[in-house]
Amino acid sequence: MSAAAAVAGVVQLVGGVAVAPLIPGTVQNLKARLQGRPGPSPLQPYRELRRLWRKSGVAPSPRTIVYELAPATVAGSLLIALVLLPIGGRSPGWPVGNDALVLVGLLALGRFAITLAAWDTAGGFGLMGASRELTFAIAVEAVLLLVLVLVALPGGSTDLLALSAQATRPAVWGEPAHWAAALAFGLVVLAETGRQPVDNPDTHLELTMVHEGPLLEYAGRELAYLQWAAAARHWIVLVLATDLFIPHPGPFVAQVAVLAGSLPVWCALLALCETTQAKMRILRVPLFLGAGGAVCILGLASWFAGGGS
Amino acid sequence: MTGALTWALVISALGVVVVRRRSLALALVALQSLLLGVHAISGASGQSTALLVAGAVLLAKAVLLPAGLALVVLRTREARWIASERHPLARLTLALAVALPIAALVPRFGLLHPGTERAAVGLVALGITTAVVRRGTIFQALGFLIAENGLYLAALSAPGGLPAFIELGLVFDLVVIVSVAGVFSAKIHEQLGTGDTSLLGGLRD
Amino acid sequence: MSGAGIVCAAGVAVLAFGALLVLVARSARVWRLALAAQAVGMSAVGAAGAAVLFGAPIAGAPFRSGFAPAFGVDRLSGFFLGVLALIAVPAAMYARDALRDVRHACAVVGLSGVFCLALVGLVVARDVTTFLAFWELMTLLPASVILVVRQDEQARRDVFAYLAITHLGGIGVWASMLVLSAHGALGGVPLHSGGLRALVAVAAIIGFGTKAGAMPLHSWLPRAHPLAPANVSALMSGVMIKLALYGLIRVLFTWAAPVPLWVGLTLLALGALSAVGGVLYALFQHELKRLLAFHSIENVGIIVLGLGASLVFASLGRWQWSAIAFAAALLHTLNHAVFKALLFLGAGSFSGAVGALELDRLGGLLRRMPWTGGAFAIGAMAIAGLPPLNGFASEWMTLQSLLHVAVYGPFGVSLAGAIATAALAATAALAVFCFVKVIGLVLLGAPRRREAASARETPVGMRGPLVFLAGLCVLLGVVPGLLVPTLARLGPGTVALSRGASVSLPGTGGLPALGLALALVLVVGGLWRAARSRRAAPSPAWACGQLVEPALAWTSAGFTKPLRLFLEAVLRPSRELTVRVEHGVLQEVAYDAEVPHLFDTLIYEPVTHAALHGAAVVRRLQSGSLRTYLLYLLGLLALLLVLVRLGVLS
Repeated sequence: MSAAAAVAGVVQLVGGVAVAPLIPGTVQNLKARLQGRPGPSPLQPYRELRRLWRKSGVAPSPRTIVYELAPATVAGSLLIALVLLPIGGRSPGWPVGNDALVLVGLLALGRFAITLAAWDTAGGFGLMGASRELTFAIAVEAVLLLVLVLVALPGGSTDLLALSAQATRPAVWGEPAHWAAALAFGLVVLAETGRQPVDNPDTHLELTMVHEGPLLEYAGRELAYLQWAAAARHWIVLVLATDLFIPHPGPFVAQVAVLAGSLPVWCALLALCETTQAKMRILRVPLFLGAGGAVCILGLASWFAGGGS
Repeated sequence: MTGALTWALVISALGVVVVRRRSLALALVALQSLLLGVHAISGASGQSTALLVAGAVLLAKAVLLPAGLALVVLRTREARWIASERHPLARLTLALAVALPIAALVPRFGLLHPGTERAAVGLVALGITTAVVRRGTIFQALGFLIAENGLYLAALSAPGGLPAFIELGLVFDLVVIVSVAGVFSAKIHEQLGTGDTSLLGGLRD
Repeated sequence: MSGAGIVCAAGVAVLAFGALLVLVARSARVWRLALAAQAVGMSAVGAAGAAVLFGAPIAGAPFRSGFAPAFGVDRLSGFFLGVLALIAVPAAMYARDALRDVRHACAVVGLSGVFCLALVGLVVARDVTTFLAFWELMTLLPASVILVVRQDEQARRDVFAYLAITHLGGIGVWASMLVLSAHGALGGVPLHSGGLRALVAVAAIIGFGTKAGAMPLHSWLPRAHPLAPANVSALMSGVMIKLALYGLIRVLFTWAAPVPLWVGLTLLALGALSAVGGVLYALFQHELKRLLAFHSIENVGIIVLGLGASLVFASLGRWQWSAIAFAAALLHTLNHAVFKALLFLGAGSFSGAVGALELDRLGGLLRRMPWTGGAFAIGAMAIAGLPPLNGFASEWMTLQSLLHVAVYGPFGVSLAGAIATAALAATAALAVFCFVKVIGLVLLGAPRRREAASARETPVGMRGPLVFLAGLCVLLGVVPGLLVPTLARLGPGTVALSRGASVSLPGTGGLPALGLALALVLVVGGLWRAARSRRAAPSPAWACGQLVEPALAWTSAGFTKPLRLFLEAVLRPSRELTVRVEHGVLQEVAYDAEVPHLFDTLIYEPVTHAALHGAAVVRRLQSGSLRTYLLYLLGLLALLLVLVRLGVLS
């Protein structure tokens, strides 16, 4: 294992576990600035996590082992998904491989666990949020797979290391298929992170919650896991966006620097998107995401129209 | 196999189609079986004994089966002619219209003379036609016997003879008789609760 | 005869003994002994099949084109015998305790034994007469079992639908098999004309596709599968529809090969339609067994997607990926058999404990039936395609195959591959949706009915097979790589895959199943222990300060409402709201909602009416008169003679 791979491994874990909560904090701060308020500090999520870690949890009376296992499953699956993503085009050989479709499967496992927990306590708001989240997930997974088809076209592989390496060639940016994939992936990012127009992360009205609905029954360390999981989802999709769609030629150090520089840019873009858009009606969200799918099909057609290689 | 014999068989079959009286039809069928039996025995003299046995079987059939059917005819006297029967000429035309094309169309299937082949197939067709065009129940049985005679004709004219065929045919007859008797016994048992035939005397009123 | 052949024959003999033993006596001891004998026989048959699959010499005769009956076991047959045994043995052991409360249990046992014999016979048949004979037997026997167990009007109508549809589709099977046999293709002579190959392919897809339950020919499956007793349902869903795919594989990959590209694309389209349509209709079902039957349609769609991808790769000349896609389809066949049998047997246990299986009237069964509930939950997670279980492994491989169709094909093929990939991804998400709902309604929450509250765990004899099948799900999910290289050798093309616990395919990042499973278990376990170290305060469920009342419990229709509203134009749901007001006071509100099965109303019912109408017209030929029948006989004789004369028949 080379030094670069070891550093990449460290960054994967430390970045995912420790730096991830900074991302939603930064987005909140930037959103507030755009709205003319000083806003919370970007470090606020850390304070939340520390507070929750020290509190005791809750054991609602009609529950089974599903209630206890769900937050651990969500956090565990996302923790393993963290080490699937190559950093700067390198990854130490973790035993979980580097395949993009395994990543999609792990995200599905997390979603399954939290929505099942909503059934365990059978609270109405949790179930409402769970049903909406699962409905969105249908469109999200379909569009995500189409994006993976488009980015796999030049190289023929779904290995994230290979995909990351092919983004280092600027030639790939001449292809409209790549732009189409980037646009569709942007929609997927919005859906996975639960940002407007798909979902409002600041809402306190339980009837409008999608991701947050099942979280209502949790407290203490389990809620800390779930909040960290939301931050980890941000980290995963944004690092994936950088790996796939930002050209990062050069040696390993330069690539890590590009990653570090691109993350604040993504946060700013997310904040801008949230501030300028209102939340969309729930029944229109699958159409919105399906538009991303149509863009991917157009990109596929343009790949072949341009000759394809 | 002389041409006269085949013609006699065919004309007697046509006669069964035409005649009105059941006893007359019965006599014609008995004549057919007799002719076949005599021919079998005369052809078998000096050859295998199997053919001899077949001939004996045919003769017995010529005597026993018509005798049984005659008893039935005597017991079941019809008061009038069956009104729904078609005109004899219509019956004859229908039978000829069916049997002649079939006999003409049949390809050669290995008998010694083409005329015999056509006669055999014609007899089978005439037998089935009898069962179709004649309304009385006895004629269904007679039609079956005529068709069987046609098959026996083919068996006897096959090169080398097929005596086993005739014995198989008899076995089949016996099977039919036994199964019909079985059905009757079952019905009687169902009706009376027992198979004791002495009680059947009570059916007469 | 080779060793495997002898073992297989011995197994069949024991199986036949087990099937016929019930003719001797009718006591419970006798039929339980018969089931044990059937299990032993099937184990022997499965062991022989697995031996041939993994390298033992091929037993029996190869395929031949004449009409002489012949039997033999080659590697593909060995695989299917193994699958059959893996399902039939637990089903038989389950039935030893499950059939105690069923009337006519010995008839069911005998007929299930003969059904297993028919399934074995179909797989080992080596000429067209035995194949078709066992095909028909395989169709008729489940119908007889259902009619033994249930005699009501609904069951008779559904069995009629089953027999009618499978026989109408079965024309395709007969046509393709007889054409292949007449031209000598069974014996290995390739078909000479492209038109003939196309004809055989279309007939085979219609015929075998109907029996496998591919949309749009699937109407019989959700009617027939829920009616049978649990062990026969497990066999029907787990094995019988797979044997239809076995026939399709034989025709398209061996006898009519090489098929043109459009056949592969047709299979892709059919597979995508079945997968998405099956799971979509499954989501809106209210009854557990009917829901599971629709999921069988979905999984058949996934297998057909894999087969279609394999054919497309073969047409494009990519032999490596053709073998991989074929292995994915076979792996999913095995996996689906295992978890579908597990789910049906679990549903049978629930039905025995609780009664009717209306999804909205169950609940809380995980506490009351922990073993059955736990095994059922594992089966549900497997069918939803979640890592690290076996459903994820085969769905991962199928997704990779479809993605690589999109990557490697020319434009039209690539577009088809991309759409198929998106369809399969949507199917996976829909399956997760559906099984979250099922587990939540059946196993979790509070019991919604008296019988659910007083349900008791089943005896050990019924729990054991479920635990065995759940363990098999986990095992196949953790070490799929041991099986994949062997399966890849059964298809067209060759690929050199290393044999290990993980599946590493070229052009992917690999599926390190064992590492993934261990990592998940360790990490999740560690996090759980860390969270539990703080003691939790017992309290009622929060629900934002409201009381959790049983009347406010969510139903299946409520949970799937967003999807139902979004897809209103496609599904055409109907609802009826009746409000009764007397003297100005609201007395009663009745709400009736339904998602009708469009295939039934648009395709199946008109066709049935036309068929019955035609039958009524033809019935006038049946006059009951002996003379008319003799006239028909003479007419037929004359017609045949004319045909001979004209030289049409020789």
